[in-house]
Amino acid sequence: MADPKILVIDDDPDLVEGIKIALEANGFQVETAENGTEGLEKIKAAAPDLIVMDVMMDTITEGFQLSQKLKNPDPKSEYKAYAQIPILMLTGIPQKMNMTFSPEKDEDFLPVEAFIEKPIKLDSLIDKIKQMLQTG
Amino acid sequence: MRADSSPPPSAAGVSGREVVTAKRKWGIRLRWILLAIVGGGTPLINAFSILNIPEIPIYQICALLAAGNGGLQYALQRILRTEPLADSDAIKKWDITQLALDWAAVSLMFHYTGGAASFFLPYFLLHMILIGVLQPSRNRFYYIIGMALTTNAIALLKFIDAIWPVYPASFIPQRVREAPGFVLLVLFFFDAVLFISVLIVGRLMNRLNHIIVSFSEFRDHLEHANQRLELLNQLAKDTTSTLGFHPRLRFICRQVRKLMNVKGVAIYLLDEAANQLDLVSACGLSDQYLSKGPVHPDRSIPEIRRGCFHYIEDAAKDASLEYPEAAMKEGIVSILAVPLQARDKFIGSLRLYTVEKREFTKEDNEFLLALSGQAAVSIENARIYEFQKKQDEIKNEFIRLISHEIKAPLMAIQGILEVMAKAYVGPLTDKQRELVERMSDRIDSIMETSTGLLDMYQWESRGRVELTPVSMNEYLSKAATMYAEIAQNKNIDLKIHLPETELFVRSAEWDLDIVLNNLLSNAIKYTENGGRVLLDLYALEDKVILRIVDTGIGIRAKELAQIFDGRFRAPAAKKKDPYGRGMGLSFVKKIVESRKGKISVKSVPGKGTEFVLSFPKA
Repeated sequence: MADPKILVIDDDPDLVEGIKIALEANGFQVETAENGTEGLEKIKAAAPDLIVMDVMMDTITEGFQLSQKLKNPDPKSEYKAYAQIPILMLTGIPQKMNMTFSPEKDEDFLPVEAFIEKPIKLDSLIDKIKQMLQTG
Repeated sequence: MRADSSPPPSAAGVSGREVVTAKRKWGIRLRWILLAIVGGGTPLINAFSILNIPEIPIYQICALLAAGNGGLQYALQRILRTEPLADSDAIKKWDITQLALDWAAVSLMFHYTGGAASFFLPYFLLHMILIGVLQPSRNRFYYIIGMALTTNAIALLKFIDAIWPVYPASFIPQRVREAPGFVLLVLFFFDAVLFISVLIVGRLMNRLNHIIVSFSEFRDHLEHANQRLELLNQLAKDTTSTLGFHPRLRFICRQVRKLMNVKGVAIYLLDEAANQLDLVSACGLSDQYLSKGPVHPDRSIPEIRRGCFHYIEDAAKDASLEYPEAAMKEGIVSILAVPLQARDKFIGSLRLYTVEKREFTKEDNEFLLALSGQAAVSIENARIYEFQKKQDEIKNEFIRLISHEIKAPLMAIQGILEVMAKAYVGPLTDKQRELVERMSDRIDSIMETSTGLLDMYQWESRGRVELTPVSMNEYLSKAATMYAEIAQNKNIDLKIHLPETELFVRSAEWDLDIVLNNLLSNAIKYTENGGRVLLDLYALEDKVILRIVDTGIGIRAKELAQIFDGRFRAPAAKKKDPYGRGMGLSFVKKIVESRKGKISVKSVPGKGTEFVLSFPKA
């Protein structure tokens, strides 16, 4: 089987670069995008196995909107083909216990498979991705 | 700027009109009553007494009077609808018409009921006195003279049979009533009673009128004073309102214009840098006048700076006025400049413009003095409010800056350092790796500091917070779950002891977040791999006690003594002086105390640390 393909969408090129190097060193193929629009193009062109994206990009809710688009339950949605790609969301929400997202609770609001809070440790990011690809 | 140029509402003159209107309406009402009495009374009198009044002429008189009175009533309503003033020409004509109608009706009645021998003489007297009373004094005089002359003439003409004598059968024998002495005597008494009564009642009425007028003036005056007080009161109360700066000034202008009954009002505020007064709000003045330019307080009216009123009586001639042509064009005759002083500081001027030379009374001046003080404070408050709003914007920008603009690049650096430390981009020497790790540690601590700063900033600057009873059992379970992974990564045994009964603390959850995040993350951070951290919750009397115990490196006595004192001290090298940073503990103490709690700490270096929090039970 070919190396799993990960799409990293974040507006900070240096952060993306760090993640890309770490993921490639751990045996992943990595595609990157700077914003939601570019991310959508890459999803269509590269068909990633998993998407890592930031909650906030150019506009505060861009990550939310992109994930909502992709996971749209409407059968006529033009992104239906991509709804199965798991999303790992990087959240910049400060560590506050009453503000933690959970995939169960926030399914409608933020329909993604998993969250990881910033600042991220690369090891835990890689662990999480591996875990998600296994279960998926 | 929007200038309100409608005419100033008049404060007085309403009550005078009320009195005059009421008198005329009473006149009409009395005439209707009289018609009913005469119309209904005549057949009754003829049927039940020996009197024999000629009914046909009486009914004709009644018809004339009814038509006239109806017409008068209609005309009065029309006049009142269309004419705003109490002494218009239309109302004067109306008065004369009314008198003419009465004169005609009374004269005819007098004739048909028997002249000097009329049984109704007392009634005619009463009628004339009443009409006299209801009339303004000049009309009253002419009416009485006219009536006296007419009635006397009719009586005398009847006596000499010059007009067809109508003598309804009377109690007075014909012999008596045809004697010249009788007629002269009756007329003498009639005239005497008429004139004396009208004179006395007229005097009384004049006095009463005078009293009514002064009373209504007094009422107007009181109302006016009351309105002024209300405005002062409103401005005083307004200090806490969120009305914006310009709406507040416009409100002051409009109210002063109304209460002082002047053409226009403007507020100028001092621009200290330029040393000039700039127009900020006005009403009742044209845009053309308002755009005349700034006013220079030192050049034109130095008195005002010292807190004195400055009155320009004749704008055309006063040399102290900067724009006399503009004032003349606008029709302004006098200008009163009132200084605005907030906390003894001159901040501007309130100006009143009149189209006539105005005597400002002592009360006016006192009112304006109180008002200007109150208005100045109100303006200052509005300025402070605007300033605070701006400060809030700056604060929000600051928060955004810290949370995003500073943390985002740090996170990127952190990621790249980690890539280097993990040798993903090629092997490092031991020294290189150590240096990279030290950089990484320092960046960690900057991020923690910024998070702490942000927390503190938001906590300090938030408004009123709703405090609710928070279940500590539930809360600590959640916290333990959150930190389980971090503890596990360091192989630390994170234990939690909860009592069986639920314990509640009155707080906002966010407060507890900050407190627990600080204490728990410190406990885990400063405990070596394989150590233990315990969260222990229990009740002690009316207190809820939370212990956070670790088996970490501990704190030296010297640092322990001042652990809650420092703010965010510059992080010292972590490995050498682990608790030297005192990260956020003073802030933690502040939050705990704000919820009526207490915090204490015990520590043995090398053995561990124990923080004890105690809150009142909710």
